[in-house]
This record gives sequence, structure tokens and C-alpha cells, in this order.
Amino acid sequence: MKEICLKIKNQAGIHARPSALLVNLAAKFDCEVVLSNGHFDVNGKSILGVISLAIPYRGLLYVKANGKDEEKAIESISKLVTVDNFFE
Amino acid sequence: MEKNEEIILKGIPLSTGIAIGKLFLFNPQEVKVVPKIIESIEEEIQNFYETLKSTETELILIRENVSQKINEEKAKIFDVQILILQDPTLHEKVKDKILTQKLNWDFAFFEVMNEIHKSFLEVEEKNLRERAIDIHDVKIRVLRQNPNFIRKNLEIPEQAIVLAETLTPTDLIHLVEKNVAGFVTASGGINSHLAIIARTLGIPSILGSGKIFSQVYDDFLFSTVILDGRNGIFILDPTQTTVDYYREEKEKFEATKIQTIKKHFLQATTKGGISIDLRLNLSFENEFGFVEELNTQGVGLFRSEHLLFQRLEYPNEDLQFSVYRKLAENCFPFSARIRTFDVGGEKMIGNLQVPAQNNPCLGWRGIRISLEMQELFRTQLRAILKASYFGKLEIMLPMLTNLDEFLQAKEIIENVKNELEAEGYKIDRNIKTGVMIEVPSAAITADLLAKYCDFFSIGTNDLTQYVLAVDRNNNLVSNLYNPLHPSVLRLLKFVLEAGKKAKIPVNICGEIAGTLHIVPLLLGMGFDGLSVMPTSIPTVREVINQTNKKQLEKLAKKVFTLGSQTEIKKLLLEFSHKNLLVVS
Repeated sequence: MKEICLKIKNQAGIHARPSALLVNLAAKFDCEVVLSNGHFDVNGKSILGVISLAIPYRGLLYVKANGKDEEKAIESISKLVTVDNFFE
Repeated sequence: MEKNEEIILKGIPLSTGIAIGKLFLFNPQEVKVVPKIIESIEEEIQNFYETLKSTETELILIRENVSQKINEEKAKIFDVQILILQDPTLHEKVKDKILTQKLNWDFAFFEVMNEIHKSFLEVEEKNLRERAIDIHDVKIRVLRQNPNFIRKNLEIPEQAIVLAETLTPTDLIHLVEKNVAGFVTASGGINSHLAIIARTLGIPSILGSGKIFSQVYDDFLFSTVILDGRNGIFILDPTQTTVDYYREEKEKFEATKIQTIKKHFLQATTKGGISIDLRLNLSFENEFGFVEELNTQGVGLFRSEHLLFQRLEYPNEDLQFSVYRKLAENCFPFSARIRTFDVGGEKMIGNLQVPAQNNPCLGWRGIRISLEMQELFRTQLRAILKASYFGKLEIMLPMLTNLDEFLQAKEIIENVKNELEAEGYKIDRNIKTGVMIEVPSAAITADLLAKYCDFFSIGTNDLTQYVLAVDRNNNLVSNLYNPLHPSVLRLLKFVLEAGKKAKIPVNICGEIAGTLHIVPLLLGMGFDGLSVMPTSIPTVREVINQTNKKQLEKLAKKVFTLGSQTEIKKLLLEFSHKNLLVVS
């Protein structure tokens, strides 16, 4: 299992559009993706779950991946959040 | 045999008149799905997945459509809904319910979606609460695929009395086109957009209390109901005797209305020495004929944003041009003032979604949008300027807060003029450009603005709510909304004096210009023009015909010595009771 903690730089936080990007990305991997805001965990492939995390600007997103391509999943999600900043 | 079970409910009158018609529930808050005994669990689950798939296909089509017709950014809104359909946790929850409780899929789905919807509404996070609407939308979309869906193809009957918790301007236009006989709504006050349109078009309407909404449910759909906009009475299941009584009342009401209107539609006399431009506030093409019919001096406010509300696509230059040209021709030899798109605030934009704002009335609206979305603004200006050749048009800028905005708009207008002339169009080069004074900052700097503008038109509805910090649609504070507050009156006077000094006309186009007891004050203050909705013309004519200049000036002078808004109102009411017939 791989784990990482990311800081949200997006001004609006993880609202609907970034959530959609996260879910679409997570769905591409053949492993379990669990996201958390530090209070509760959700399935990273569930839009309703990811939106309900409601992570604000400068909040923390915990990512856990478990399965075949877990390494690749963690790497891609980190890139989306920290490098691409959800393309916003 | 008479049934004796009619239910009489009371609301607040918004627009006078009587309507008898078939009840129609608009935008039902909830759909009904009933639990059923199922035959095969596998079949139920298969049905569930198939319905999700067909909903997804539908959504992808809509998304493509929006992407092409509006833009990709707006289309992305639908990505979230598509992902909700694909959500694995949602699938699990619904499957689990079907399996363990042996429920039909639609009921299981309905219950799960309601739970999620509720949990989203309960959180404090605003972004999250806003997503609840997506969940509701997806729920309805999916359930609509089911052939048993109750609301499918529900047609609005002719002469319906529509009950709706809220109505957006777009909804309203659709309903007006269906010849709706009356409205009962739960939100918005006496000065809301809905109330104003209903009064303009003479559609009886009331503001329903929670009690009305809790008593009316699906069983009453299409049954005969009565709405009395004179006193806010709403009757369910009326007896034949009641229906007959109201039929007669309705006839009487309409007969007197026509009589009063006929009497007062005659040219106003000038025996009292009052000379004033009496103009109309219009929103729709089918009202243009009123200008001549009611013997008025043109249009003081054409709410062009209604062109946006009436359609899904942005109205192109040709379409706008044809409307503005018709307006110019109908008004000639008088002029028509076109207010450029005033969307935002309580007025939502139909096709172009203005993002949800915490405080829309203090947000992105009016000229602010026009100056940022210049393509939209330029298209409108091109249409207005091209139409200006066919009569007398004037450009009025809404929500202006500073001179810079005016100068910036003016520069764009000049630019568009040159562009059109280079293309060979004939235009009115000297088209008058003025400002709607509706924000305190514009009113306070009226003397500075006056040097550059061709006219002022005071929008007292907004000005009052900005000056008094009162949202006129918020029932908790709408009683504090008072255009007779001395602060508002002082501002009106200041703007008027600034206009007079710069020799530009100053008009009033808010609702007070058509309020019987306030009109004498406005005439006494010496405004150049009043612009009112068609149904208020008799009111203003009544004042002009029954009073004289000297008397009104004295009244205005007296008002400005008073400090209490209650006393001011009392004085004005006394004056109108003594001197005027009550028209409305």
C-alpha cells in the first residue's frame, strides 16, 4: 500500500470540478484508491464521496492506494493536485 | 347536492383581479415513487443499470449541446452529474437496498438519493450545499426514464392557476405564454420581479403562506380553484355557489377596470399647469402597442434582459435588431429608452449562467457584466444602433457606480458607431446615452456624472433597497423597505437638482412613479418625466387631471420639512384622499 498527504493550493478548494477530475483519474487505475480529509475516508472513485470531503483551500488531502498499479496512481494524483493544481 | 368542503386559505395580495381556473402545480418539489413487490431481484438490478445507462446517454447529449451552444466551461457542470450516475458507492447502496429489502429499484434509488440529498443540505460548507441541486437533478432525470413516472408529459391546461414555491423569470415567461390565469407563489415580496410582471400583465397573483403550500398536494391537480388577488384569498374545492359568486365578481371587476381605464386613458389635461413626460416601462414585444393606445410619450424603460429570459440561446444581433426596430417604430415620434441587459441580482440570466454569488445584489450584475463580457455588450449595441435609424432610441446603462464605467461604456459605443458606419449602416450618430441612477454612489455623484450623460433615470426600487440596506424580497425585513424615507427623498432631490443644473432631463422609473399617493410629491418636486407600467397610467393621469402645480409644489415643500417617514406617508395619504379619486 502507498500513502501520501497533499496540500490543496486551489483557491476554491476541492469543489465540484476538481472532484470530477480526481474521480476520473482514480477510475483509471486498477487499484483501490481511498481519499480522506483527516476525519473520514471515502472511495476515491466515488464522486459523491469525494465531494463530501469538502476540502478547503490549504486543507490536507490524504491519498491511499492499494493494488496493482498503486505507485502509478499516487504519482498521477499528486501531479494533478500539486503540479497541475486541477488546471485552474 | 352541494358539496360543502371547500377550503379557504389566505395569502398576501400581489396583483389584483380574480381568477377561476384549473390548479397546476409547477415544478413539484418532490416526485412520488411507491414501493412495490418485486418478482426477480436480478431483473430489478438489471433494470436499474439499464436506466442509469440511458440517463447517461441523455446527459452526454445535453453536455455536447451545451458545449457547442454555450461553452465548454458550462458543459463541465454536467460532468459531475454523469459521474454521480457512475458512482460505485451509490450503486452499492441501491443494490443493497434492493437485495435486503426486496424493493423495486426506483423506490430504492429514490430513497438513497433522498438520504444523500439530505446529508448534503445539512452541512455548513456552502459549496457542498450547492451540489445538492445536482443530486436532485440526477434523481429526477433517472426517475423520468421510468415509464411509470407520474409527471411525464404533464401539460399545463389553458387558464391554469399555477402554484409554485419559486418561479424563475424564465419559468414565468413560459407560463405567461401558456395564458396562465393566476399565480400563487411562496417567495418574493410585493416588489419582486414576479409581482411586477404579474401586475403589468394584469395576472391576479398572491403570495402564499406555508399553510397554503402544505394543504395543496397532487390530489388537487387540475381541480377548479379560485384566486382573489384583491384580498389574497385562495379557495380549494369551491362549491358551485362560490364559483357562481366569483364569476359575477370577476365580471364586475373587469367591467369597472375597463371603465376606469377608458376614462383615464384620455389625454391628460394641462389645466393645472403640470407638464410632464408620461412614459411606459415595458418588457415584452406584445406590449409595444400600448405606447399609442395609452397616449403616452414613448418608453422610459425597456427591460432588454427579457430577450435573454425568453430563450435558451443568446439572442443574436438580427433578432435583437428586429425587436429594437419594432420598438423604435412603435414609439415614433417619441423616444424609447433601452436599458442594456440588467441581469444578476434577483434577476437571473436564462441561458448564460451567472455563477451563484453570496450577495448577488452587491455582485456581478448590470453594467459590470456588460463591461466584462464585451462581446455580449457589443452585439447588443450594434443591434440598438442599427435600429436607431428607424426612430428615436436612447441607451440607458444600469447599475452604474462611477464615472469611469460610464466613460468606458461610452468609448465602446463610439467604437461600435464607427464600426457600423464603416460597414455602411445608417445610424443615429447622436443617440442619447444616459444612466440609470439606482446605486447610492451614482446618486451622490450625480452632479459629476451629469456633465457627461444625456439623461438620468432614477430606479427607485433598487436605490431604496441599497440606501436602506433592505432586501425587498426578504419577508423578514421587507416591511422596512420604504421609498419615503427622508434619505431616499433627499437623494432624489439632489439628483434632480444636479440634472437641472446640467440641463439634462431627470425621470423616475421605479414603482413609486405609479403609486397614487406618491405621484403628487414627485410632480411637486418637478421631475421631467415619470415612467410607469401600463396599468399605472390611469393613476398618474388622475393626479395630473385633479390637481394643480402650485398645490403640488406646496405639498413637496412640506414633505421636506418632515423627519419621520410615517408622518410623510400620512401627509401624502391625506392629500390623495382629499383630492383624488381612488383608482386602483
